Amino acid sequence: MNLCSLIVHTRPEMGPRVEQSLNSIPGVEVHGGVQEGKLIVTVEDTEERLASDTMMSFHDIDGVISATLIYHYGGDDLNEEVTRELN
Amino acid sequence: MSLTRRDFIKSNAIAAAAATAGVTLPASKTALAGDDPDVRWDKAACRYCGTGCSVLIGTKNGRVVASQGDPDAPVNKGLNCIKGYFLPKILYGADRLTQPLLRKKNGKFDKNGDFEPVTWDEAFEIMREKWLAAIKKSMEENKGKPVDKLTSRVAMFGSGQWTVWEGYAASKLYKAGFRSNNLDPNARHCMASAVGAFIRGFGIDEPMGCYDDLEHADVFVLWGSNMAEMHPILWSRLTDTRLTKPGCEVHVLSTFKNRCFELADNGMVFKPQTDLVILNYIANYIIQNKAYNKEFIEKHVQFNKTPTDIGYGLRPEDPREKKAKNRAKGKLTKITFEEYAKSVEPYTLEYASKMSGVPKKQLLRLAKVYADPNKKVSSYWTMGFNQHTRGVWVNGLLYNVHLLMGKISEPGNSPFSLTGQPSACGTAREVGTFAHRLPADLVVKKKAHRDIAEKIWKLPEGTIPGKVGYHAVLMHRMLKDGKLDCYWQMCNNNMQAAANMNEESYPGWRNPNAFIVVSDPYPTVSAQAADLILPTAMWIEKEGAYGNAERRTQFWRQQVKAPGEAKSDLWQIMEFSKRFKVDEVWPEELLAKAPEYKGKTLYEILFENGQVNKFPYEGKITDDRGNEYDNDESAHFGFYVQKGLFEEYATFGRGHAHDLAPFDMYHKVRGLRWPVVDGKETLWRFREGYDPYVAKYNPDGKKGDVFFYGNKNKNGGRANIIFAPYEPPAESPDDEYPLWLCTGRVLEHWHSGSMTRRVPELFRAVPQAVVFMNKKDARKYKLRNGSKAKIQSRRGEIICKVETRGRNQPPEGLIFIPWFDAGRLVNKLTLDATDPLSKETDYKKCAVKVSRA
Repeated sequence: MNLCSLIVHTRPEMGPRVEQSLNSIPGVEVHGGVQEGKLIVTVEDTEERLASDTMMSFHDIDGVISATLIYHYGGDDLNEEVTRELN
Repeated sequence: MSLTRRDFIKSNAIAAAAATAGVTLPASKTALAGDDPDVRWDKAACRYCGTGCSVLIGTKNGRVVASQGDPDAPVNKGLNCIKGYFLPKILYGADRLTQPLLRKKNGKFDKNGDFEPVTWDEAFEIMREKWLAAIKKSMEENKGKPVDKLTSRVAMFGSGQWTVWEGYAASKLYKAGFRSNNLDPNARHCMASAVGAFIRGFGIDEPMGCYDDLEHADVFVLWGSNMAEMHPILWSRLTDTRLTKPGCEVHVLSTFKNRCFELADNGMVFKPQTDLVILNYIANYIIQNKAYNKEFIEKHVQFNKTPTDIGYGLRPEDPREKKAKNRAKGKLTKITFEEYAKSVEPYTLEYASKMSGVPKKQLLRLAKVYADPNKKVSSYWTMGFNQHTRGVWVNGLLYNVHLLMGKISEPGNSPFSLTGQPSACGTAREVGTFAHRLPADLVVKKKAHRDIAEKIWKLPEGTIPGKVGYHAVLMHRMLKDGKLDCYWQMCNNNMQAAANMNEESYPGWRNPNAFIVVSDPYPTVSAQAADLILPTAMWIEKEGAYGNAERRTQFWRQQVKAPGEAKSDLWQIMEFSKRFKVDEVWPEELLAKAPEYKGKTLYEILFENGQVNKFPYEGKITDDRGNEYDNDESAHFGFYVQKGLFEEYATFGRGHAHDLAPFDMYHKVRGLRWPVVDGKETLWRFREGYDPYVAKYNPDGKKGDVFFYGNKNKNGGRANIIFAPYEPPAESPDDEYPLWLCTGRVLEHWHSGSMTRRVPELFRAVPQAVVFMNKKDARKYKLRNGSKAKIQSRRGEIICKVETRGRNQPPEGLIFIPWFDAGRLVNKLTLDATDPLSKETDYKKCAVKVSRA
């Protein structure tokens, strides 16, 4: 199971359009940074497609200058329940 | 509320990305971020290119489960490229080699046998037998010869991906132990021309600037570097500057349109080899317009010319070599500024445009930014310059332009040679694992330099041979000609990487006289062509150090165990040295100078010398957060191997402008750029105020002035401007072979693909090499996008799918094929023409034809 985060660089005026395109892809969520042209994006495996393949397709989206990976988790324990004290 | 690990991980992932981007998000997005106590995090330098990104590696139960761009790393500032995402997966390919394999028939070694598993003991025994026979033969051949005429029949082909101490141990074993200078790295194929130009221009290797120039420059010029795909993190820093700094411009020069052109303000496609013309035109423009920095030139520059008509580094019997008047000559002749000006005068805008095919307007725009004293220009190049039969020349012509303007050695003004391998600088160049080099820019040809190495290594005078050994390309020729008997390749894939596979590499390796050993984690094309395969522990399965393109030395600790019986290159080199008594490999007269060494093994002499084995190993490595790590080599040999080797190695450069920090410091920081003096790194060399050596070597100099101290003994500390003209390539298209072939890389695969092709995601993304071709050419040869084409040169043929709409858009008359694909070996087509000065192969230009397959 893969879960990762990326920064997707756009020309600032293209941010909203790219956000829309990204959010329409299964497994992809945009969390912010649209105005700055630096979209904070998470990508997860879906039943149809691995996160990696999804990420690879970002370069083909109109308005994307670069997609840069920041964080990757590939352990098999994503669905495990975790008890941790929350502040 | 029930939460899964996903919730926490996702929160961490979002927080990391937001922090890196400098974007503020609502607190709810990152509320759950925090450390997972089951995962141990530590830093490591990335395994791939020469950028030298730092990644954080998350390990759980002895396996890497997570990775993150290192937010504390000055190089990548938390970013990671697409290959970096899959980085940990290179350890876990399905076909990892886990035991030595030897070609055997009827229970015995047979060059035509099939691979069978053997023990390490059996592997080293057959190696010892072969090496000893070859060395005995060399000793016979060398009888009565002086030290500067010695030759050897044993060789090692090393790597710019070796860790610093692996290269250093190999250098000791070969140059001192086996007394063979036949040690060369694959960096010969990527960096040798850059090195040649640094030494000729500045008397000292490696860039004067650093990556900080990516934020300081006003103008970026890419010369034969597809940075968008090959150095994506540097590209993202450059992009950031271009989009945020008013007036910032990007100029891109290439022989085909690539992804960099998307950001280019001035994108130029030029005809192969005419970079020589364009650069001389810019110099001419600067002089004609009196834009040059007169004061800088008078104080800091020496003008020279270089011999011309120097051949193409082919075999001596090749007609092109016989015709060359000054074959491989490079001795500089001093000239005046006026003579230099006269030499570049024919390189007018009209001529440059006609030769290169670039419109005048665009060339003029380029020349103007270099000639503008108020614009800071950083120039970047990689293989387009280096893999060039005039590679040293073309590197030098760019320095000429920067030096005429004095645009050098200060923030933003930077001619900068990028590297393709993670430690081409740190290991190949700084340790000096080339056939002509020793550590810290010393060379085997000079007795005074050999004396220094022999003293540090506690060896008798005359141990290190003074004759330059066989370089990478020559090694294959010598194997084929029966002059080289043993060849050990480590940490690279030269059967796939070397040019002219059909005529040189393969016949060389399969010569019945030759014994070929390949150490690799995977069964590469090289491994399959070898006689003995040794399984190798890779990257974070060992403690390591790399040196990147900006002189930054970075360390990592061993994070996980290697599978099966795989052992690191360091272990293999040191363990093999135990198999030889010095009496077997040195002649009596040499041993007579050090009778105390009689009866000792090379291991005892080279590695138990009171220096390398000086630091005890406590049974584990502990970092300052209390985390514990293995160190398998130190556990095996009984001392802190990496520390001992590094500290001995560092004595070569300390006090001589190559200073490295103490070993332990590197484990605490995100790398340091040498020279490191009093714990302080150096960002821009040769300028007072940035580089402490300027004041040391030029005490009367002005504040902030430059001094090219690498040339202090040669010409009083001046940089060399070296005129070199345009000369044609070794092989150009003609009626029979009408197209240029250019080879190179793609983003998803690194070099020969031995690692990235084993990452399923990257394999799927780009499963095979395609031939990038102009639509008009495709039509001309009755091909279309997706159809199969046969590509033929005078040396071989391969079949590839045609791509006319992809990321690379060649002009008519040129095709581009990447070389990562073991199933489509493009080096069956290439010519082993090299720069006669640097001995680096030109992989960018040969003639081919295409037809329907």
